[in-house]
Amino acid sequence: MKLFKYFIPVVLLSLIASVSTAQLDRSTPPEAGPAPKIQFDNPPSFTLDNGLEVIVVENHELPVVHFQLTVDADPLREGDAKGYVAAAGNLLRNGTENKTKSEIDQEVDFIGADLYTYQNGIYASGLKKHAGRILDLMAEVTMQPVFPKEELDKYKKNQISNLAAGKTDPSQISQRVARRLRYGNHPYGELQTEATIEEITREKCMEYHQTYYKPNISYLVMMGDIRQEEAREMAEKYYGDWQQGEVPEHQYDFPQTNSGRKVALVNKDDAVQSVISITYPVKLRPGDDDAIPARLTNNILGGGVFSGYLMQNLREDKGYTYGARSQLNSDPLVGYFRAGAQVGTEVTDSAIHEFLYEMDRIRTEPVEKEHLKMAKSAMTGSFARSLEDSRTMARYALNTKRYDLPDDYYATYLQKAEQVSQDKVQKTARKYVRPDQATVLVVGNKEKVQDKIARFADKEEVALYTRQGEPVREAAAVPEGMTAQKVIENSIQAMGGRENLSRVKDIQETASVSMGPRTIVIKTYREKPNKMAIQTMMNGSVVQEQVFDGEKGHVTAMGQTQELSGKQLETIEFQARMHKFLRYDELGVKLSLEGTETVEGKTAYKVKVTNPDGVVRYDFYDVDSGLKVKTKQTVTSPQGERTSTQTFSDYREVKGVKFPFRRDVSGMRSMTVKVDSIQVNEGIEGSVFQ
Amino acid sequence: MTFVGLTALQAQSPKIQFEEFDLDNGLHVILHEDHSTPIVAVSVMYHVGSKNEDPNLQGFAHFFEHLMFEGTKNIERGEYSRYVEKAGGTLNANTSSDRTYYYEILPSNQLELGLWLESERMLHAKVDSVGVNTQKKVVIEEKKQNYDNRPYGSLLIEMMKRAYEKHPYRWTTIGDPDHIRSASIQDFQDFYDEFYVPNNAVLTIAGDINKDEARSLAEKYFADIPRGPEDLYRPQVKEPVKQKQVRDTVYDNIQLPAVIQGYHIPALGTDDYYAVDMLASLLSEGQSSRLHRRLVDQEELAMQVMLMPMDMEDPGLALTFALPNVGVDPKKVEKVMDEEIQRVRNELISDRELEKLKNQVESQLVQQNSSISQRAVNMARKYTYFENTNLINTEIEKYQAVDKQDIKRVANKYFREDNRVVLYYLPESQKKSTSQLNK
Repeated sequence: MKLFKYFIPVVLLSLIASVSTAQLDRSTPPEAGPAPKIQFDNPPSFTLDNGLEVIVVENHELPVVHFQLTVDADPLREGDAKGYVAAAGNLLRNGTENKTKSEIDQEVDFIGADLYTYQNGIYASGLKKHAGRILDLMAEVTMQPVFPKEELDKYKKNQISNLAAGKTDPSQISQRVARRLRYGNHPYGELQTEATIEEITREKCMEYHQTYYKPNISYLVMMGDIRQEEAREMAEKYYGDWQQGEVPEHQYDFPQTNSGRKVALVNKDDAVQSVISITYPVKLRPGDDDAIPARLTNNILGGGVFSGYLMQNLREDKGYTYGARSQLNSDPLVGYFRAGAQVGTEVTDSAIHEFLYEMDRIRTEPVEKEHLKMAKSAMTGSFARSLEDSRTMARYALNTKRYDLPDDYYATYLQKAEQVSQDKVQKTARKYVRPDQATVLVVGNKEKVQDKIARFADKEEVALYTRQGEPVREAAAVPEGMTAQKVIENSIQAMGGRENLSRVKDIQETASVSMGPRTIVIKTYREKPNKMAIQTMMNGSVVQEQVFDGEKGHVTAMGQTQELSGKQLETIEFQARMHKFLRYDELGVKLSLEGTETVEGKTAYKVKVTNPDGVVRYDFYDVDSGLKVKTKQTVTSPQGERTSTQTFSDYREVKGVKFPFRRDVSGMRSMTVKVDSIQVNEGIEGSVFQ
Repeated sequence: MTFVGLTALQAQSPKIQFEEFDLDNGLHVILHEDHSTPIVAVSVMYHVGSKNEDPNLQGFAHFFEHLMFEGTKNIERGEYSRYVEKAGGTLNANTSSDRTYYYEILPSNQLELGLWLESERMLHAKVDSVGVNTQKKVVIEEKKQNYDNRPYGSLLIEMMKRAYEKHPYRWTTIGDPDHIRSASIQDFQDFYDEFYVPNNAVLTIAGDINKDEARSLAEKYFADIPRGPEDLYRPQVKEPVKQKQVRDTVYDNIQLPAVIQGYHIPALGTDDYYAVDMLASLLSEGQSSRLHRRLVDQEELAMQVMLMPMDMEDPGLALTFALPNVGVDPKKVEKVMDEEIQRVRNELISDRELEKLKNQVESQLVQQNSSISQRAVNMARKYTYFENTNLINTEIEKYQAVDKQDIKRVANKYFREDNRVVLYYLPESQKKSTSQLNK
């Protein structure tokens, strides 16, 4: 009996277990059902009398509307004032004939809406019940912007700060230079610089707006909870008065493609990584037969989460980088290919080798069936998810009109993707993946990488470029008999001569640094032999102060004062001595001439300067002017080696002595210091150094 | 409350339709059918967050969010997310003090895959030493990256430990790496057995589905998962009312100082919470809000300012955060913040401001449900906290009921000095000079 008692539950258990297994086999994933059809109806459109094309994308899920206006003007060569077309777009909503920016802000917030303006476009959204007011505001900023001067000034200031912030970021340098190299003379290759921003005027913005913001070249997409009839009425009501006009058209030649592979290098002394970018222009327009296969091909090469060839090789296998990716993008004028990664300096050449290897592999080896299948489902999935956002629908509708795509282009998108074969991928790769005519651009440490990367160029030459994408002139050799001492002597001459320099008893300098919307003022006082005070000011009050009175010194910040001692005191004591270069010998500073290098496109002597405490820096003196144009110093910190540089420009004469009125600092922190005034021998209150 | 406003609203907002039921094992299931896009969101919300943790095992809830991707009895290590990727989907998870949420967004023909994955996770996730040890490293690195090395990353940790003495909100989801490091496999297994059970979870299936089919698939994959304990740990701790303001300074690896205030406020779902939320919009929502206009546009004292009530199941905090402009004394910024709060305590806001706030709230509430995945998480939350999924449709009424007096009243009731913690974040460099000065 006992046995029986135990026996039954065991049997029962196994029975239950087997029953539930029969019900559900958990050990393998369930099969997918038949693929869903993606419904994509082409949205209706109509044209107003003034030529404005209106597209209506209905979606009544939520009582929300979105409006998007696109001015389809050809790109312009903006030249010396590059950036004004973008400025005009960004400032549309910063003041109209009837409203200030703050009034516009209040109106937008009052109805809980959003309103953004940008280059050749406007986007607004909000609840359906406010649709009329949103469109009213939108039409007002479209037709009656006044580009207030103070708003333009604020905008320019911000653009300059952004540019300054990105100036030392190797990825941004790479992107900018890649544009120059890829597009050359084409308007796509124009770069906004500090100088071009300065040239942007209210008049230019007005003129651009008056000439190009015309209904007959524009599209208005009306999305969300709005019916076609309502949309037509509203478009007529708010945009019907928009005056049409003749708009100039512009055509440009396709940029030249390389005849063979080229290697370009932008030097960044303080780089610990190289930014690699392999790039070239591509003839691929949206809606071309090749556009979908090209997208799939690129996904296999450099897309996917981890699955792309580049990621598998450079990250998963070799560990050269955190991420290696590629893009192959279509464009109505000029498309592009770019493959890139940030890699350690020492593996720069090995990484380029692997990039080229994978670009070659996708051309010569058929892609594996499984890989192609995965790339297709990834594409299907993300396409389907993207359709949830009515803005995606609007973009597709707009593309269909703008680029004259077949009406069923997006409706059949996935079917077309599904049909792409292994063979088609290879054929597409042969056509668009061109390691043989690419430019391999490296932003990194020239000393460490230049020689190693030359082998990738057909002519085994590395072309050097500035951070603005201009070719660097090769530095001339050091002439016979030139010494470090002579270089210093020349610079003393160039600055006004020993006599004028030794007459300087005191210097008061006022300089400013822009940080976002604010400006920091730095006042520096120096008095012979070694008194110094540096005051950092905000809104007229001192926020930080460094003072040395010849014997003792202190630092004050945020209302707290710290007396300097030990090493810090020694450093400031040495720093405070005026015009040390007049007597390097006497101070025990050692000099040696290391050769020449190009600084901002010009040849300069490179002088190694070793202070008595052993600290080394490099000073660069322009060969033609004799003046010091750059200084560079590397320090070893717990985070590793850090190099910082400072360039000197805009030399102006004060009391017979030349001073640099502009200093660009780069490294851990980057900024531009502009000198507003320098006074020499005007006498300084003793209290300044207390 | 204006009658006109409400009717206009009801005419406009279509209700979000859903169906819900319990399986025998206690799993609550919410189905939401919407065929506008051929995708489906499958998600499970477990009613467990850091507040359910043993005070000696802080960080467990969040740790599980990681561990739950390690695999199950039938899914090999590393394969969990690969199944989703191969299907063309996407997945992720997140943890708060109150709940943990897992989701997959898939093409709708892969609904069953999503259910298989989530049911595997609930039934027999792998809680073994390989997975635990791998994720220990990852989570400890995550703490370094997101909390220790990120500017202001420790903000919530520093705020909560000063704001709470008794309630488990005194620690945050990332927890204590030492607790995680020294925890045993049994500790992890116990946590899983207690909280990762159907009667502590909400399964939401939303999107391009057939409700009847989804219902039977939910049953197919989840019905045989055994019910867990009924008495799982839910802290019943009431935080004593603060009597005195707490002020402190945190030195961090940052360039710019920051001012943070935390005011104790009532729990999510209470009438006063909605009034507090409106008060927060008044002060910091949009470029025309009171704090933004004064601190950023007019007086140019701050780069950024915001006031945000934390949406917590138990009484939480409303946090203000201001980044003074370069060189501006944080005290000056705090003074303006206090003045603006004082103004709300003294004066009724204008009718036009109230109308603006209601318009803003309405717009936000509508737009926060614009995608399938947003609707899924919002419904799951409403059920998990209040067992009232339909709150997703009716919450707007709570906001509409707030009037000018309410805003003034809650300003006086909660936004008091003695009811707050104030933290100054200062660059580490300033700490040195202070300590040397003190010597």
